[in-house]
Amino acid sequence: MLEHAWNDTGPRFKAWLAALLLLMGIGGFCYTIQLGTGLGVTGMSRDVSWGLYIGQFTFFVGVAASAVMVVLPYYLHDVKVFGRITIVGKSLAVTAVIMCILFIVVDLGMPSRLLNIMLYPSPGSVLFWDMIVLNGYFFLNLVTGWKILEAEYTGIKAPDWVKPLVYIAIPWAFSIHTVTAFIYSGIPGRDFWLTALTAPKFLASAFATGPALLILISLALRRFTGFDAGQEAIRRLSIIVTYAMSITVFMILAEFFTAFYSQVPGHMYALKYFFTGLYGANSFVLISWVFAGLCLLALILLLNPATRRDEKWLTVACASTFVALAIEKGISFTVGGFITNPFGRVTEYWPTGIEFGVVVGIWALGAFLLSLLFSLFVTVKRRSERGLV
Amino acid sequence: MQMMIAFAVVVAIAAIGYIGGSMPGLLFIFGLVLPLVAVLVFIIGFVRKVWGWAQTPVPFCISTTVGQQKSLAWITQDKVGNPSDTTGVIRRMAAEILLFRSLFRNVKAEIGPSGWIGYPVEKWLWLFAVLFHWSFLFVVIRHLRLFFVPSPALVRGLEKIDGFLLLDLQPLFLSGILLLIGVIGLYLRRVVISQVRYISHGIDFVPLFLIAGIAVTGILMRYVWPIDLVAVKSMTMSWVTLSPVLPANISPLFFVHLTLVSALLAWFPFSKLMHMGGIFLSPTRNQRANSREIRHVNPWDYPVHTHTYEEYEDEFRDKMKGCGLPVDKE
Repeated sequence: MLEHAWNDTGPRFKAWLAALLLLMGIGGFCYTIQLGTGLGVTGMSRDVSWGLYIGQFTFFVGVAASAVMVVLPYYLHDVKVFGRITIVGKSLAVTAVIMCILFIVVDLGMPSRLLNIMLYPSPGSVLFWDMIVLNGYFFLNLVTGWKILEAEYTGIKAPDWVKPLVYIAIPWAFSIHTVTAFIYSGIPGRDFWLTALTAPKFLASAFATGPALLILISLALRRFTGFDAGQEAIRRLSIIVTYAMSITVFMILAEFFTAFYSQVPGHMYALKYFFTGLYGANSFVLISWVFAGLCLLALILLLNPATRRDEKWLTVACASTFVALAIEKGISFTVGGFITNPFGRVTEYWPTGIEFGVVVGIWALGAFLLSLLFSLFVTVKRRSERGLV
Repeated sequence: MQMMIAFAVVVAIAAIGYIGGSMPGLLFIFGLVLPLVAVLVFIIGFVRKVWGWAQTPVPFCISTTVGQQKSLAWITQDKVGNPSDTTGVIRRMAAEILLFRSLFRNVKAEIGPSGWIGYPVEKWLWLFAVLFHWSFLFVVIRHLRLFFVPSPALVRGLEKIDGFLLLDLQPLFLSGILLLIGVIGLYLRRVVISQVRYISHGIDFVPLFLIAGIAVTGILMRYVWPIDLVAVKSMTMSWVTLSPVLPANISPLFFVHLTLVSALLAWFPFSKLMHMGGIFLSPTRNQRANSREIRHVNPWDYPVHTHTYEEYEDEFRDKMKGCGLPVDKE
């Protein structure tokens, strides 16, 4: 079955894979530099010890968790239109978890001591639990996705033990993003993160990001492979994106109210730093306003039924949602907590070329895996629909 | 039962190694004669086997194929599955030897609820085989450091990659662990899947137990009961420089390891493990599938006296014409 990911693919697909391989090579090269010299080649410092890597990790945990937005309606509410898209969601989840784990590995100064997290388990640490839930989620999705696809390929029903695993994966998806949020909100010394809203906001923004990405992927798949996830599935997903995006923006605005109405200094510093700059430090001002603009654009296009139903505008809305939240969760949120160190001083952070190179490499790897997985199930679906099982 | 005998044989070999290693008087035998004899048997036996196979004529094109043969221009040929030229054969052999392509294609037949037969993939054999063979290769290459001063760059580079992860600041050689996982996986397949168990003889378990024993003793020596490596290296170097040194302070565990390795080497040429050499010489894999393009004639066919139609017509042309039969040549 696996060979279908590669066989019968055209030269365009192979060129795409080759381009991704090249990007992965560049990422790998950047990483060898980092491995040789140490984390000094990144923009991180004593004061800002988490940067782009951890931000990207957080963002992709959200992408992974968001698979539940198609799996849950399909399995718990019998929303049949999501039947074709659940496997897309599962592949996305598997790929995103692999990317998450890689983002963690590249953030380690001494990756060779990786095993210590299991050799010396410390259940008091949220990071330890994150390792458990992420790996668990990875295997749950890999096994269930594989078995469901195989059942379609062979025409033989998936074994009975697959069903319970699918159901376990649903709450598990919420757990991975909750635990990731607790990594942040469990740190009492960082005001910006120290709010009970972190976990719900993470989930809400994840449920906007993931379905937005799924819509974009579905539209791309229909265009390039002829695999149609279904008009109705896309329509329903766009409603999910609309609700989740509205809730996300609402929660972000609620943060502003708490910070500025109550004049909480720790909360105000980060928000001021983002939108006006703080003590002359302003490297995040531009991308913060881009984020705000994209959020507004996405909301206008999503809340208006006419534009939401129009595929061109929906594409713009989903792309804006994705990019906006990739900025917010993918870098800003992480760095925001470190702005103003314990002495009230601002140390700025901006990723170096090496960091961008490594991140591009991991994105390319994710796209590579995803392309192969899509190629696999598109062929399998096509064969099973033609009765070639 | 047969499996238990195989297990007992391997345990006995290990026990002999242990006893030999604990008696200083037997050091000469277990530390020099046995490994040397084993290596000689291995080399001579291996060469003889391969030589024998190379001498065996293969007059016919008997390649087995899994794809469309080269045929009419508008029919797509499966260039790797059914190669018609040397490049294709090299690709097929490389895919076979390096990636175990045949095993990757493994499926099992199952009848679904609808009564139709389906072929779910079965990748476990491929997975464990790949893990096992590649990690075994890495382990063997790493052991070359015992026979060179200084150890070759290839070995040191491999050690760096293989031992990237640290176990309490000591490199953890993944290949050793994966080798053991591979062997256990292959063993479990033989025991758990009833059809595979049915076709397993006792002798099929011997290499699995032997190699598992080698891997376990190796891992024990490295991580649990460290041995005197300097003494071991002085001994192994003495083998290749042909100036025997027999250090006295090597733990018996090492001799268990060494005896198991010697047993494996000595038995190798006479066992199914010879597929290591045989894979290169298997006619069903290394031939071009061109039986439709070229006529393959058996060179030692008995010279049969033939009488073709042309000859027949030459002989009887006049008579054929006479009674009005059509002829090819006028």
